[in-house]
Amino acid sequence: MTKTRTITGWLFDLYPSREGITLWLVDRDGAKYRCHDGFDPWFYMHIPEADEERVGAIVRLFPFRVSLDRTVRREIYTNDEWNVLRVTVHDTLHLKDVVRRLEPHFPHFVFFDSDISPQQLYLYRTGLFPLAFAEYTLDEEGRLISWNLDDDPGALEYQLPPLVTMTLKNVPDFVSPKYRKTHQLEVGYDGRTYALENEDPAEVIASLNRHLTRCDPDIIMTEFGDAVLLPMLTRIAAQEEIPLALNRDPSAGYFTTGETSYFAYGKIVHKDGAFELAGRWHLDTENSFMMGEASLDGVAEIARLTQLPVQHQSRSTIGSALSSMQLSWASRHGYLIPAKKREPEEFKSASTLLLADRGGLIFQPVMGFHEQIAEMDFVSMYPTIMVRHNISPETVNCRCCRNRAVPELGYTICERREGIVPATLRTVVSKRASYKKMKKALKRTGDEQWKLYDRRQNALKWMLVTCFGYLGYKNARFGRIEAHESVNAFSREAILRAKEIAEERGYRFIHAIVDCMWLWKEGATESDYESLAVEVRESVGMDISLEGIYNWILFPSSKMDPRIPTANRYVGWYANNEIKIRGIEVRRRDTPVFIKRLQGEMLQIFGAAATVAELEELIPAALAKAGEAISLLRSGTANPLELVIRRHLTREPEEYTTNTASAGAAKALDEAGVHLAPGEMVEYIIVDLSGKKKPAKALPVPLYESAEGYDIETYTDMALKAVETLLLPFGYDVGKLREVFGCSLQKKKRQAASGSEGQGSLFDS
Amino acid sequence: MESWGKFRRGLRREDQEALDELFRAARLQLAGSAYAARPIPFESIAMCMLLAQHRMIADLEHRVKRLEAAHDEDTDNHRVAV
Ligand SMILES: [Zn+2]
Repeated sequence: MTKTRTITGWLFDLYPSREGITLWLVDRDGAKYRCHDGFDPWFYMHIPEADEERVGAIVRLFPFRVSLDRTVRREIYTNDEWNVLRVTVHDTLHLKDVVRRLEPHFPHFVFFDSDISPQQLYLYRTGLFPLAFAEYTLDEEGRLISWNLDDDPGALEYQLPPLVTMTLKNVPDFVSPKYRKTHQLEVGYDGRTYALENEDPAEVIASLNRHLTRCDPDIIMTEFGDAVLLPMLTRIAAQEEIPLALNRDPSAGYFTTGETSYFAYGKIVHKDGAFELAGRWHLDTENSFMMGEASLDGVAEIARLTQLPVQHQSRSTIGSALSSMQLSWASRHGYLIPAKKREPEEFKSASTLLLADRGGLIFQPVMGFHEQIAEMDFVSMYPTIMVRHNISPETVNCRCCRNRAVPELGYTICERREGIVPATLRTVVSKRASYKKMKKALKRTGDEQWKLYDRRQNALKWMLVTCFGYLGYKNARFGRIEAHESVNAFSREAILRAKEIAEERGYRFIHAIVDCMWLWKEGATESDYESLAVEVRESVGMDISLEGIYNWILFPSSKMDPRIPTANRYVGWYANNEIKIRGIEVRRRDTPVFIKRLQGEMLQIFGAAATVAELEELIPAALAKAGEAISLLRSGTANPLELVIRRHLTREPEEYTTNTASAGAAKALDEAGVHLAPGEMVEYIIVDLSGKKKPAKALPVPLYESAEGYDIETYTDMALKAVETLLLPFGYDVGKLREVFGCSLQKKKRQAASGSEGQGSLFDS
Repeated sequence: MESWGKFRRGLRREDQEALDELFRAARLQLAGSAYAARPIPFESIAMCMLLAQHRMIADLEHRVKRLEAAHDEDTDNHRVAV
């Protein structure tokens, strides 16, 4: 009889290895255990038996065993049973190689389950998940032979293991480490930080190794670790021939992927490649969508729910978290998972789709200042529609039903089976609702438990806001344009119903964007709006909540044409003393800090106003505050670091044909040996936008010296426009503000500028 | 809208401004145009222009009535005083 032992704790990490899958467990005392499980991953090919020999001939060339057999699985769109070839690879480290070798010989649509990592396949097929708490039983050779799960991904109350974190970064400096040539390390743990000398590279590696041994971290938290720090350290270690102890598992390698640029929400996004460790988590705060937003609690919540290993999850792109839930569901239900086409990711953003099909409805705001406006929002509108109406690529216009359930479009939605999208979203929607309820029940805003629930619900919100775009995304595994159109049709129906109900009750519809609306009615109170919400909820069948009532709210005019309004740009103070800002300078990422502060300070002053009349009385005080900032700016002594402009590059620096400030800054960096890819951020200070007085319009931050000064007129313009955004309804346009602040331009220049702008905006757009 | 560039160019400055004003009106009614999704977008644009005109006329009518009422009251008061 073999001796076994049982470990009560959490599944911490897993990755493919010689033994199949290597797993790391952590118990309550923080002790770590390495174990393994034999696993032979497989994928499917939908090809006739006659073609099997071609597959056999190819896979026989591999030095490891690949076995073939036939089996029956279901195809998701038709729900038909298909007879498919199962290809089992008896070596987890080479699954990808087998797929790669076969792909050129067959069309991509015959491959199923073929592009999922072995560790994910292992989790889907065993039902285990990252951070699962269980009694794990190992045999004396360290093989995981069974487990008794005392946990599930849907659980709302669960514990995380005690984990030791080490921070590893370049010594702080205002220049981003990506641009820097020399590296100084700073290691932090147990509340202490240690500076590592950088003169002798071998010494840096050796002392880092000493710290790694002493601290034995579970998490190595870096800034730019993926792109710069860890690749650099491993390179130095290799040159100096010193083994670097980043991995807890000395027999494993690192898991790396290349950097990518892709479209998301109409913007190019740049992601550095991944650098993942074995037996430890490497989390890069600069290369994670999640880290900043929801911290470790959020990452853990999503990893557990989606069965994506933590390191992978923290770097996952929009959509891959939900996609993983769908893959798991399909695998559990015996459906074939179509392989993703290997094309560059091209994401149709919500706004492009708004044009492509009609999207959600927008009612342009009534410009200017308003008081006593209420904002009401449909809660998670899109995911709720998908779940409630069973909208999924395979349920819209199914073959078995005929009900014309979708408004306007008359598409049918299947009544016989639940779709993969609603089936997986349902859990996310209900978990988020539960966390919000639990948070509310605590009533202790800001205590640790409250914050925990809040971080978890925020992480889930991140999944929900991005779920919609993927329904119509042509490269998504489970996407189809009709499903997307159906969601939009239901959303239009919902907001129109809400409008009709509100108007019947005498409310005025001031502004609406897709799932939010701003209403006004003389003397309406909070309880009036609450009862309106109840009525809308009952009629539409979706939850709508009162966000709050504004003391005052401003809908500024369009930047292009002061006579027309724009959607989704506003600022207002709620009666409960909270401010809400969308789309104006102070909230925009490309606004220099100096301008943000100027506008922010004015808004703080206006925060004291309970009505628009009171606000008007505060204008002189706000103008005085702005005036201080503007005279500092014009004296030439403002801090240039507060004038830094940050822009995402939309193309390769050499591809820019126009000579804009950001193109110039990117090119200057390129010449200095720092290449920025599309989607990366370029940071610069404008020194002479006219291009007449100085050789460069703008200088990138790393090449800037304070003797260069800054372009006073350009930054004055920005400041005046930020003031104008707030005060135009009271007649303060840039021209009048120049008089107020005593910084008029020569007359000629000003006329020329305003004349061409007014005409161009309407007809050239 | 760009397709009306030539038409616009052939107008006097003051008419150009009026035309711009009309097109601006079309931008105020995104929801109606989007929801109707008519195959010929100009139909919706033209309807938005008509709508804006009608609203303006109605507003002016309202103001005229108010002014008239105020004026009548004034003259009534005047008569009483006399
Ligand atoms: Zn059906």
